[in-house]
Amino acid sequence: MHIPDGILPTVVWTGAYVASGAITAYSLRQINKQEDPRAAVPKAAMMTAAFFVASSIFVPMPPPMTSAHLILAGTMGVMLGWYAFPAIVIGLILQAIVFGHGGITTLGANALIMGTPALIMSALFQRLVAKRPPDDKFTLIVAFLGGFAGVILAAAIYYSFIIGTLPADINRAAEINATIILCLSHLPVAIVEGLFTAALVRYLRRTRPDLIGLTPAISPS
Amino acid sequence: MNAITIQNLKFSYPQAIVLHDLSLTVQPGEHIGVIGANGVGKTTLFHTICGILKPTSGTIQLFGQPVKTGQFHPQVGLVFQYPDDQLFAPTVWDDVAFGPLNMGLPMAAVEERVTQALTETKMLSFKDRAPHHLSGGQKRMVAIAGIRAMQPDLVLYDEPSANLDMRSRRQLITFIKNSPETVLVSSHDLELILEVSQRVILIDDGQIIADGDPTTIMGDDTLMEKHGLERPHSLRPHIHAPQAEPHTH
Amino acid sequence: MADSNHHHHHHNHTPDIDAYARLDSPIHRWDTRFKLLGLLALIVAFASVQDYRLLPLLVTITAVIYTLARLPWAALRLRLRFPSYVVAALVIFLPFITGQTILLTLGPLTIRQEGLTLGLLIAGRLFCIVTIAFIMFGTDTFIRTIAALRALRFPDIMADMVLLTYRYLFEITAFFDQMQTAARLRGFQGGAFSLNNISTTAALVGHLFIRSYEKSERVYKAMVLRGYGADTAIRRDYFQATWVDYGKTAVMLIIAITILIIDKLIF
Repeated sequence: MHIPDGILPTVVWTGAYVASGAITAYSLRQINKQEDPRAAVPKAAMMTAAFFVASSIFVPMPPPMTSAHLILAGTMGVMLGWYAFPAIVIGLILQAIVFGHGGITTLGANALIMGTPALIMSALFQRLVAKRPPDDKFTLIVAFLGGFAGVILAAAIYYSFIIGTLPADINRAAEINATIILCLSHLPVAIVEGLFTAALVRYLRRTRPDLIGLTPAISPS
Repeated sequence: MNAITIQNLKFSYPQAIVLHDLSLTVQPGEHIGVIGANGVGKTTLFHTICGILKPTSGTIQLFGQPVKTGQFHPQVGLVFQYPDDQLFAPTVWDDVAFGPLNMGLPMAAVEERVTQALTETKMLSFKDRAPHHLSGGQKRMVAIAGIRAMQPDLVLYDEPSANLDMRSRRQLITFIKNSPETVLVSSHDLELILEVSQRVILIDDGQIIADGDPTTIMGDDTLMEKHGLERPHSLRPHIHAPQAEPHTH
Repeated sequence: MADSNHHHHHHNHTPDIDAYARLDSPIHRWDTRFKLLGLLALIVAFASVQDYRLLPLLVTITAVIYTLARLPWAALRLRLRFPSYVVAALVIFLPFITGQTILLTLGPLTIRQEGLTLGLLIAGRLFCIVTIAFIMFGTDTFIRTIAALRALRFPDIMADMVLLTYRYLFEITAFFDQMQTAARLRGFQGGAFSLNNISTTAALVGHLFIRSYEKSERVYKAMVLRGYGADTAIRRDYFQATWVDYGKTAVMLIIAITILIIDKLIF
């Protein structure tokens, strides 16, 4: 779900740049408050690379679809904490420089598409699951909803950018309807990502609970 | 029937030829050591045998059946050089059960096989642990148990003693020595090769240079040095050995 | 590093990002910092063009700079392949949903002029921007580009992360390929949709995360041992601009401003 260059009006893409720049700056400020801000850089970088790889795999989908990419926005938020937004920006920069995908002018907008769900899911997961026992079902339900909502939210932002800025001769209500219908078309992917996220949380809970931990996932060692 | 029949196997990447016209036959139950310097094609050979890589030309038959690239061949097991490549399940038990479950066995049979494989590798008491928390030697034994539980007729070990301490290495050697199946072991640990194999093949530049008795081949200084190897210590004439030196690689 | 000598063939999939960085051209010789600024100004101007009649000008400017940069045309074709799908979708879709001036009626469908020109405009902007971006990053090594960004006040932590992420991207891809192969050898098909396959895939990905995380802890220790994070770290600025660099940048800025003015005046 990347918006390529050339589609968004200047006002929109510059506005998105300002917004994502501000969120990145705020995230970096939170990171800089840590005792040694550079301590977590290799971890965040390695995890960014791992997310990059994980989001390139195809996950089987129920028919009539065959397979789809994972978005992993919510998971990134939960695992990377304040590093999530900068990590997403870095992923997009690498994609633009190395693979020529994504976009230069739309980098800010694309960061918002992925980063907003990441930040919301990160906050929610910490709030809701903080003091749950290790074999708790509720945690898995939250994980499912987090993965699910992450996809729907990313799709909603994506289509709002595109439909909201194309000068189609349809009225506001029709635009909103179109956005909702397009988001609904992502339901199967959202369900699979929800199931995947729950399975991932169950796995990490048993192996390295600190990685999805309730203390910031990436803490200076 | 031969366990392995390889005829005129060639494998190449766009830039480089890895295996040149390699032919090999292996009898069931044979334990064979595969030696050679880094990058001569040992891992590629293993990967073509178990059907991960498609040969550029030539044929491979295992127990009379041609290998089909990309298919599940439970009769062949590959123990990876890095156990972390292989162990991903949340618990040791789940990991060892992974192969048998994929073979479509009934639950009772799966449980029996997992218990047996973990007992043979002395890892049964770790069955509920996460593989990530194990030591290098323990991970290696779990990886082997995961292969063993599929009850393959042929097991390929790629550098099995890399990063093992003395005790784990000793356990591994004993284990491979007593394995009933056909075994191919690729290693730079020539002392291990000497202990576990009845036959050695020396590979260089994608070809079999020598094939035969381990002590004859590995005791031949000229041959070994020509192909980037060294005669193992235990095959050197010992003038005196009052302090037996620990030998590591 | 122990992992570096296995699976040589993965390198075949690695896009050689520095493949054209060592060619020689006026663009290659341009100071990286000024090149980023100059071409970025051009991209901004391109992105704000509203009038499709400017497209021939945009394409000409892009083609001239591309020719000056002496990059191979085959490489550009590869770069433009993915954006082409987006463009095709828009050019086909837009004429039906937007505009008042009817060009053609095909049964229930009407093709409208405004939609058609909007589609062309978006397509033109997209192709030109992707090409300029390719020139911007393709005529320098990745390392120099990041160093230039750093010199332009891109945050240090972010620059460090970009370099490290890039450094480990291919290694982690190789980890993951190897893990998938190992799982496949033990019968994991993964092709069909089932809860079981999803949870196996989740375990593979989870294991990848743990492995990456644990490796990063070792990497960090190694980096600290070699002085990472110390305030004494030398920030050598190896860029030195000459009047030629200023000149090239000025030309780009003039072109960018001219485009903006023409676009506004025609409107």
